[in-house]
Amino acid sequence: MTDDSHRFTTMYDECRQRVWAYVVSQAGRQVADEVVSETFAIAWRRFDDVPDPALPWLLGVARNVLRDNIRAEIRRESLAAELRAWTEEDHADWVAERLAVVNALASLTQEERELLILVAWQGLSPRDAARVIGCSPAAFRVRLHRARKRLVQAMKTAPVARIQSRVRNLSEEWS
Amino acid sequence: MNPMEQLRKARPAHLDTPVDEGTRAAELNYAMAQFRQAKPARARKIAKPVWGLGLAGVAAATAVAVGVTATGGTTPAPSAPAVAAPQGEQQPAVKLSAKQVLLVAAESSLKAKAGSGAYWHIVTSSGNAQQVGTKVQYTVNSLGRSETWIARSPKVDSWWVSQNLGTKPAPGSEAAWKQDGSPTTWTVKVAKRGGGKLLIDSKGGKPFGNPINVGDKIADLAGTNVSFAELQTLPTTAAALKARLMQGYAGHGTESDEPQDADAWLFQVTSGVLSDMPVKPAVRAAAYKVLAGLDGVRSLGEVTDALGRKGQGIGRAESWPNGQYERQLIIDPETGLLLTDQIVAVHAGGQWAGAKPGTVVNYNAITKAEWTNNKPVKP
Repeated sequence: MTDDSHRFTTMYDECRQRVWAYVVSQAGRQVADEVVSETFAIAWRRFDDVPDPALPWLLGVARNVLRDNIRAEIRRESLAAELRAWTEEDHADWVAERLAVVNALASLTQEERELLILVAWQGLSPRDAARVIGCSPAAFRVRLHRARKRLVQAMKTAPVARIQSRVRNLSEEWS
Repeated sequence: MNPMEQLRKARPAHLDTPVDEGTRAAELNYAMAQFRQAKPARARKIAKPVWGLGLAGVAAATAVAVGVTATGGTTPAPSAPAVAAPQGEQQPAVKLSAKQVLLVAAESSLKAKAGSGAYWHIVTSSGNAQQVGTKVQYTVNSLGRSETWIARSPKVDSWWVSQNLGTKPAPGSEAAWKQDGSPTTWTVKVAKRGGGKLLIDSKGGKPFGNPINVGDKIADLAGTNVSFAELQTLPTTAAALKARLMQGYAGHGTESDEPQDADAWLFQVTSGVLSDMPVKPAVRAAAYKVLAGLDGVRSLGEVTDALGRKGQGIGRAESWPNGQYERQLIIDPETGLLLTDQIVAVHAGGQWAGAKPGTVVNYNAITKAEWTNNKPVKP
């Protein structure tokens, strides 16, 4: 089993960060460690099934763990806190454009956000991203196209100045 | 600008927060304590060379330990027929069984010099899990540090100093702890007639200590108090050491009257020799060989202990009145040092009921074990 433990540890070291980042972007930091821990436990149990590269497979498992193991209510709360953090962190660096993008992203549906994040933040190919969410690459492209359009719309309808003041209000509200 | 490009640039920096070493160790331990769903028939592609540079030495040592000639060479590949042969065009994979790990550790133990010094000084970090929580169930670890000075001279006191370092959520339990309202004290039920309660505080305490010797006796070996001089006369072959230790076996545990089978008992007592006792290098080697001769010991491969140190793990299933556990030893095969002795939940019950499989319910990590002329630091 020694070589398996080594390969597993190598896989963990290569992918843990990205699995965690994916879970955080889907459901926030509060639940991320728990989901990641469970994801790799499943990966060890089913190590013989893990394809190479492992990342899309691991993200798919994390997605299921998140859905099955974490109560929807906790998921929502944790995600809300996360979305707030995206607009509040780096106070010195409140670049208007970044805020516009992040706010637009936050205004999309969970599904739209997930598609965009898998491609833009996780750097997955549409093919690998399709594997994560369990649809065909063709269906993924259609959905991604739609999500992209929705993002652009959301960025247009939320002018930068208004977002900045909204973020200020939000940060006062929560401080 | 392309909206996807804009989105890519807006990625929050904290998503790149690296995992801390403690979480990494806990997650790997938890994962690899799971039962594998074996699919033996399918060949797997090995993505990376299995052995890092440091472990090449282990491979070489394995060859020595199993009696293959390897005269001073440090290149493992040509001189390591004991090691699994490469399959097809794959990278060579070295498989160390539990027995091999233990025999390598035995071999390495002999490299240590017999010590001189007034005291055998041991420093350990420990953790003991408790299941707590009101809204949600989770695990906290009560942490401690202890130092022991065992005097060589029968006329000098041996000392033990211990400090409670406080209690905190176990790795992986932080979210549940927050959900429970981030308490700093916990109440747990203890198995006592009438139902006792124990209050656990997150705060640690001051060190306290006391002499541990009873006359010239300084340690409990297999149920009998022994002196430093007696420890020096322990047998240096596995068979003789095993026979000597087994004299103390009476069908029950060392600290209780609970029945315990002979192999589990021997595993525990022999581990004790390796973790705290000032014995000759040849006795340590013999102790590793005693463990290598036991049935039911499995290899865990490379594992990381609670302090983040890597070693080769071996484990043996143990059945207790309060559930199924695995006793694990994490060993540095290149030095023969025992890094950590720990108990891991398999199907936990009793005070650990609810602990997830793979939870380390108790660990003792040895951070120092060496001879010194420095006197005990008494609190």
